[in-house]
Amino acid sequence: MKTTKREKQGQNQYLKKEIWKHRELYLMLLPGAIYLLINNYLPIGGLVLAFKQYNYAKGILGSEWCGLDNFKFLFSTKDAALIIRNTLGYNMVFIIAGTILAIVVAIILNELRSALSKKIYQVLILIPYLVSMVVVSYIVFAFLSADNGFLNNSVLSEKINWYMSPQYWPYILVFVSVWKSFGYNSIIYYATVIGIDTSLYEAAVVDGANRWQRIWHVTLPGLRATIITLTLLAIGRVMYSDFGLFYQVPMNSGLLYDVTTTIDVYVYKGLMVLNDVGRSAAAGFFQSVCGFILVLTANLVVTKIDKDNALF
Amino acid sequence: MNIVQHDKLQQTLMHIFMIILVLCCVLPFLLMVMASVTDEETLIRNGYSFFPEKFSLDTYAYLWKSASTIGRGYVMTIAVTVIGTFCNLVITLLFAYPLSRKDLPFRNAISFFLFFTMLFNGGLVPTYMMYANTFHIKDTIWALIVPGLMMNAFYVIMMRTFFSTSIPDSLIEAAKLDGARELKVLTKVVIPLSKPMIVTQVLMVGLGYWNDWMNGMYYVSDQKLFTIQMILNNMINNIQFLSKNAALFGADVAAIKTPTVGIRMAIAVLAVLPILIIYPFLQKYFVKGIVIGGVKG
Amino acid sequence: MKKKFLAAMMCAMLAMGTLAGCGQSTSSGESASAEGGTQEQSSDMVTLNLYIPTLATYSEDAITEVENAINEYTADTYGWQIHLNYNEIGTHEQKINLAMTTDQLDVTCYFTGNGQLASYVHNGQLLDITDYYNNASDELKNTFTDAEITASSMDGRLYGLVRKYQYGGLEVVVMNKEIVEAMDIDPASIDSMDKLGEVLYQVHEAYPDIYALVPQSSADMSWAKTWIEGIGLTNFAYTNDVDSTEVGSLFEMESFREFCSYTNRWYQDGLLMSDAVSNTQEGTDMVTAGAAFACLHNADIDPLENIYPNTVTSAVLIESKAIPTDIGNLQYGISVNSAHPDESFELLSALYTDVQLQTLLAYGIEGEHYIINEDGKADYPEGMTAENEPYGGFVATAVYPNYLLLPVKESATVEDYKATIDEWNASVKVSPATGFYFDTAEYTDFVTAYKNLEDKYKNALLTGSIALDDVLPQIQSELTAIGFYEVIEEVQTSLDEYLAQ
Repeated sequence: MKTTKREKQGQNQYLKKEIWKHRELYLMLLPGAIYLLINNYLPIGGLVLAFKQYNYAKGILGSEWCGLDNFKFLFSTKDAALIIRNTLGYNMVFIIAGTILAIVVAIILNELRSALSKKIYQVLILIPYLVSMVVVSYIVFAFLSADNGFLNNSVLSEKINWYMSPQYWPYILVFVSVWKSFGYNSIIYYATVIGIDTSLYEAAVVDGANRWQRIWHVTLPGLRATIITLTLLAIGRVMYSDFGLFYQVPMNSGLLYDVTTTIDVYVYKGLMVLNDVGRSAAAGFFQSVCGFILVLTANLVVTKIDKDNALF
Repeated sequence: MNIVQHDKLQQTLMHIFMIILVLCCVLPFLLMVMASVTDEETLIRNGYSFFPEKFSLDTYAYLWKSASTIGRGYVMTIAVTVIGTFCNLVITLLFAYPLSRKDLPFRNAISFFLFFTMLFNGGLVPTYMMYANTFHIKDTIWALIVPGLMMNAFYVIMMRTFFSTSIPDSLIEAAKLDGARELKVLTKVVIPLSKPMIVTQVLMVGLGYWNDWMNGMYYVSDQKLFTIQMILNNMINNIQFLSKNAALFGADVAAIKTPTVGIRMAIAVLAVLPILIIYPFLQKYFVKGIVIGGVKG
Repeated sequence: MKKKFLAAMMCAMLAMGTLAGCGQSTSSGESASAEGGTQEQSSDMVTLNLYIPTLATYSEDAITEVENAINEYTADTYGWQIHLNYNEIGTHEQKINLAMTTDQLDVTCYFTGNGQLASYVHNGQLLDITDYYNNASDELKNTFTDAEITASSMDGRLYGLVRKYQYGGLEVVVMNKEIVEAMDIDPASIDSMDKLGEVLYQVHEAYPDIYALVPQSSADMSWAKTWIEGIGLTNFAYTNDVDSTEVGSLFEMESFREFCSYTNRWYQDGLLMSDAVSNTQEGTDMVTAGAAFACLHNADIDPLENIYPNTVTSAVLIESKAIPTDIGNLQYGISVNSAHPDESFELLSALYTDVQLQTLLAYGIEGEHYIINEDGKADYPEGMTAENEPYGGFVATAVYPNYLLLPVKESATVEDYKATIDEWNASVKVSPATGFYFDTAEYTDFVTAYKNLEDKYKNALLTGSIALDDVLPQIQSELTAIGFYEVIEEVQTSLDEYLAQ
């Protein structure tokens, strides 16, 4: 068995032994590590582009440094506060609304008795995820078009010019985003729910718990790790947005600009005019750094509360 | 109300809730299907409708003529999805298992190494330069499989979490006491117990590959390698470009038949259908209540 | 057993992955397609990568055949070969921007209709070909007018060569034929916005269910306008009309105000689409289908009735003129990272002067993709139409550098491309500010801010959805906030200096 000497050299020896003991596990890590190195870490040197004035002839290394100039276009604009507010605000709502709906659906699917209906519902709720966002924008237009749209023609008594009225769009965009992703997200939760040990439920029934109590005391705790992990990961992406959702669904209507422009849309429009590699790198860098800081913070909070479920 | 009736009421309510959700999902899809079989002039005049005035199978006839292109698109999509998902799954399982073992030295550092890749990205240009120049994957099938999709830290973390929470340490200890090597533990003990999560990931990774068209846009110009999503997106991008820039080409624009709305809808439907057909077959792996027997003693 | 199998599979996957990459030749730019076409290229001859966007569809086999035919010819005549890279036009710009970071692109077609030339030069993407051009043959130099050379130059240095084409256009009204005949309207009498308005009201009374007037394309009411945009290749400087040299804000221009007042009045009276800002359809599609009565459209050499069935064209509504970015809105140039600049310029030059090369490239192989009939005109081979033509270049030739050299097509409406185009280009009014370039390198934040501002209001105003008087004060305060008036003054100063020379 292993010896446990606690002197310093002893500790090093101990470490080496542990590593050798787990050598098979390290080998298993190898393919993934190679891929990550190639796909993610090799190009990371390109982050310097955020601080350079990229010149095609000089390449990444030869291009000149320009300090924080590339970031100015994100911040010195009067729209900076607007786009950050939009990006953060929408993502917060997406995370909350999306998670709640996905969990509710996963639990319901689990509680339903009819196996056939479970299967049918599961397949059908995945459809929105599969439809490409551009096609979604056509469908939304079919519903919201001022002249021919379904809503204006068949449902409402007074026609509203949707694409020229910014006040409705936060709701529309949240609806479309949740609609598109809840089926997909509920799969993860559902897979976790059915992995919960049934003996726990049996014990709860023996203790006299009704359905709600079972959900509250068995199912939700069983989902806790997954919820925390997914939410932490979502926080890491909180500065990114779905370009298709914010640019194509509003049909690029100028009047909706204030409520539909996020960082990604802003950068895209800027690049359409300028084709500046440094700027898009700077925007990406900013989004990454924000996400990084936020996740570290959130992870720290989670470590205090529930150590096992922290990301690292 | 007695218990049985109460229970039935709950079931009914749940069904109603699900049916409303499902309608929200299915109706737009039906609209797409209807649009693809509506006569083009009617579509322009009346907009989309569930009950079109005039039906027409012109769009599908047009697609039938390009059947070889569409067929090849399907073959490519399926090939890319199958190969990519398999590679991804193998790499993910191999990476997640060691991370789930609490006794692995430097486990946290490795987790961070993994997680960091989710947050920081070198950007399009350096990635492109590396893949195009150093690895020469342009216009090969690997361009559709390797960049970005062959391993995803998100799924590794999900798998790791699943292993940590649902596979009791005692099982692993028991297997090792029996003299099993790590790989055997993984394949004989852990994987059979992880079926729902594995199937989930197969589905999600598979969907990621199925829906992807960006790798194609950056790296592939060879028509033989186009997937269905690339075909659809090329069509839409071309239309959007031409509508803004037709002044560049004058009369020639009218000489080309730009695909109508109906055709775009038809291709979108074709891109969605195979998943809907395959998914039910995957569902049988979502087996409820895995009995973890033989733990004690 | 299972473990060994898994391990073997894994190693195989990884190995295949790396092998597929390494071990390919580098600087000659050969790329291997997954199913390997029969590309006959000798590997010691220089191969130039030529990137062209596609308009019509090209079959892979046709491209390979044409490429081989071209290479047979160029190997003998010039000593180099080419590799054709056809890209989908919607993603062409993105693709060449990426390809230009490597040495896998030599000569390419690029778009400049939105003033992109400035950013290509700034980013150092295009090779400066001034010296090559000055030493080139007279034949090449005689191909271009002064205006065309200016259009592909910046600060006195030449960066590309324009595609020879008609530039500018005049705006006419395209109307649904059935309604025109039913209501006995005289199309030739419609030559002003007032007369157009009269007709629109008449039609709206008789046919209240359809739109009287729809945007030309998507949310764009009309392509050719009275005011001139793109002064100095910027996106924010406008002049009121083609003769004016006073730059200012679009929203304060008299011609803009006039146009919008018409559309706004028509919008209020229900003649236009309520949703015009979100429209995604082509105006001509709606007119042909009878969903709308009329739309504006630009006209050039080819009569519109031939192109759009069921339509009738009015008289000229807005006179023909070319804005600065109209001339040479599509150009061909050499990438700065090309490994073979000398040969690339030879290719570039040949594209404009070598009839045989151009014909092979644009039309394909004679007998297979096209034939020359007794009149000496080019036509589809027996049994072939635009629908099943495998080499799309013959269907849509407008992307190629110098189609004036090619045999006239049977379907063409003119007898001599070159004469017609030269005549047209000579007669088009060109703003005196053409050739003037205002460097926006210091103002990039302003440029982005302006674009966002303009996007907010421009289309809504042009399609009549909002009234200019209602929003003008707000627009002006936003313009002040982003510093527009200071910048425009600088533009004016620079322009005056330029004109004084």
